[in-house]
Amino acid sequence: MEARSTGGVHLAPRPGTNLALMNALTRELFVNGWVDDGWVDAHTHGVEELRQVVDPYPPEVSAEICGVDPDDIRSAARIFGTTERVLSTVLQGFYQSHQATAAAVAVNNLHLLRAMIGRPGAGVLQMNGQPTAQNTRETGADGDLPGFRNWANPDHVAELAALWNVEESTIPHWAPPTHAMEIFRYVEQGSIGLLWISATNPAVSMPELARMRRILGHGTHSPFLVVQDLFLTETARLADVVLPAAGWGEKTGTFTNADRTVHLSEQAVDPPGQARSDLAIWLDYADRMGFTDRDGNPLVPWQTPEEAFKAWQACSRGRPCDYSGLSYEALRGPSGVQWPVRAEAGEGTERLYTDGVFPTASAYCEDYGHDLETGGVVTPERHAALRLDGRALLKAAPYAPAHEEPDDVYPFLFSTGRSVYHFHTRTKTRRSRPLHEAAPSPWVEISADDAARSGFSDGDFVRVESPRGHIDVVLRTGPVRDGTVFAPFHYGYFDVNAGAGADEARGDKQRAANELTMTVWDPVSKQPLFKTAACRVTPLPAPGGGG
Amino acid sequence: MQLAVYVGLVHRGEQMLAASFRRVAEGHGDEVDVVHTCIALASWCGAHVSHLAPVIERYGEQEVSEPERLHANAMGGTRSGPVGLLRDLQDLLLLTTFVHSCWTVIVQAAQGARDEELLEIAQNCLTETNRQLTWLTTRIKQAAPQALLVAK
Repeated sequence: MEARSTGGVHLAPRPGTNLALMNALTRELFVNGWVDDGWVDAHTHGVEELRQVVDPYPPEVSAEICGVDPDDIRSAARIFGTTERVLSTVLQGFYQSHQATAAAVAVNNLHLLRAMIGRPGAGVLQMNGQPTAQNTRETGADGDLPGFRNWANPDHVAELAALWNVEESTIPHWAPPTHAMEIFRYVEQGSIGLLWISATNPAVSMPELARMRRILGHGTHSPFLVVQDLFLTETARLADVVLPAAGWGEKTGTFTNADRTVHLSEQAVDPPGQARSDLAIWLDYADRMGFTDRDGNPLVPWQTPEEAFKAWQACSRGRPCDYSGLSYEALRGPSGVQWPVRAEAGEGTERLYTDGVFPTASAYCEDYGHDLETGGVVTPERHAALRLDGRALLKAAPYAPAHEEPDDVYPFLFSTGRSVYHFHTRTKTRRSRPLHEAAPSPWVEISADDAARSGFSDGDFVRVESPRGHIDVVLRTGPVRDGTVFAPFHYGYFDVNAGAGADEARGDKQRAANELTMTVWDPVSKQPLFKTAACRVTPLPAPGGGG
Repeated sequence: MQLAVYVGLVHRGEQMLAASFRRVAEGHGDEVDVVHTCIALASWCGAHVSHLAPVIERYGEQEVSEPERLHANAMGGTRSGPVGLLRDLQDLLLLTTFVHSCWTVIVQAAQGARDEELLEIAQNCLTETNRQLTWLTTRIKQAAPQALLVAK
């Protein structure tokens, strides 16, 4: 609504059709001559293939798929194609929807076609949900190798092995990293017997929660479960061992934002009770396990947060996220420095890609890439043959329908999302009175027209059901597309009849949006998809007290 | 001209491969990425068969009468468990390689015959068959260590 009031366009495609929309926008750049041909020729590779892939998506075709006005697609493309500065931000609406990587990459393509990158007002922010998510990507805590090193590049593996003084064969690099969804599958099958979950709450945040409870809690192959968190989450209640962890004000460390700004966050208070910082817990574990390097010395020679940071500086040296010129001392000066910081006591780097050179050289790149449709990995030989050498690779894929589409039994599209008042599964925000009071209980949202058609009113109690599960919640009408049910994913059940008496059969757990979502993930990013499922809505009698 | 022999081989090969991808999808329902990818790749095979229509019209297709030494039949059933998945993916890899080699032969013939239409069809199908091989190789490499070393 704000976009329209300022002369812009709000495109609200049917959930699951982002790529059809992106392909149409890309095609408009080509057919209207809004492509910076000279720059594209010098700084990218694959423009002809891109043109061919998007050619079957004129505005009318994509408008039909996406359920938007073709003239709105034209207007949006004209804004993108003709303005002097364009900034794009991308988040879960793309990353957790169908064809996630292909659609996110398409945003990069739009910027590359117009050379809208590397100067003030022009750029793409492929965002993370929080600074810790940025850091886990940089450091390899998502299962990748630290410093954006390439698991398929033997030189990168050798660098790490030398840095840590270990055999190369102790660094798993013979196949793509085992992603979270695959880890849970291995637990389900019984080939993972110990699972250690830190600072996340899959019993509420992962898709298809009945399956997650079976995997984590009471399936045939339940693992020995260790959960490390600030509070006793739904996941922690399923654990064999709970390790209470310190929060951000109770420990010292650095955080990095999506724009690469590194901040030092110093401990303000002691953690309560037995809680310890994550670093202290991991170090204690490494010590008790007796992990050693090739010479029999302790594998982890550092102890304090500052020593850990120095080790990370050495690890990141020469990589895109180079912290080597930073220090705790520098971070206590002007707050916030953007990596890369290569020179000693350097100033940081405000802007990347000012020279139109990208980290694509075979010897340097983080990854040789994937087939966007299948996730099949590009071999080192095929990547080298492209001779990208700093040119950006334009990749594209055709639109395909989502894995689950509405039908007669489940006539609505189901999409989960966020409310401004809560973060993740409310582990912290539930404990803030103003935030809790602003959004105390779960709901679903449908359009006023759909409510009228189905005989629902604001405030009705309803059951929302997919082939995998159901939730019983209050219905609201709001600015949602016709045919779509929106549910915030924040609400679990740790604060509902907590402890004795909590009983699945009584419906105490039937509040979490992910009861309904599908076990399915993007073939490249492996991120689970929360934006596409089918559901139905039926009336319920108002709940009698409690709940 | 013996091109009809290979038109027949690739026609039956694509049909056999589509059926096999579908069978693996049905047989490994709990491996959701395998299910969705196999269904998509089966549809690629179906598209290849429909691309063949003008080729069959022009060159015909011929059943080979000599005995097959290496049988490339559609998979009759699937196995279970992590090693079973690995073996089924390996079967798919072998069947896909068979189809890939058929298209390679046809691309060569199309160039010799200077048949632009056939060349474009065969090259596109060869490229997509290559992508099927790439996915199968990736998935096999991903599954192998856990299946062989850890799974019961």
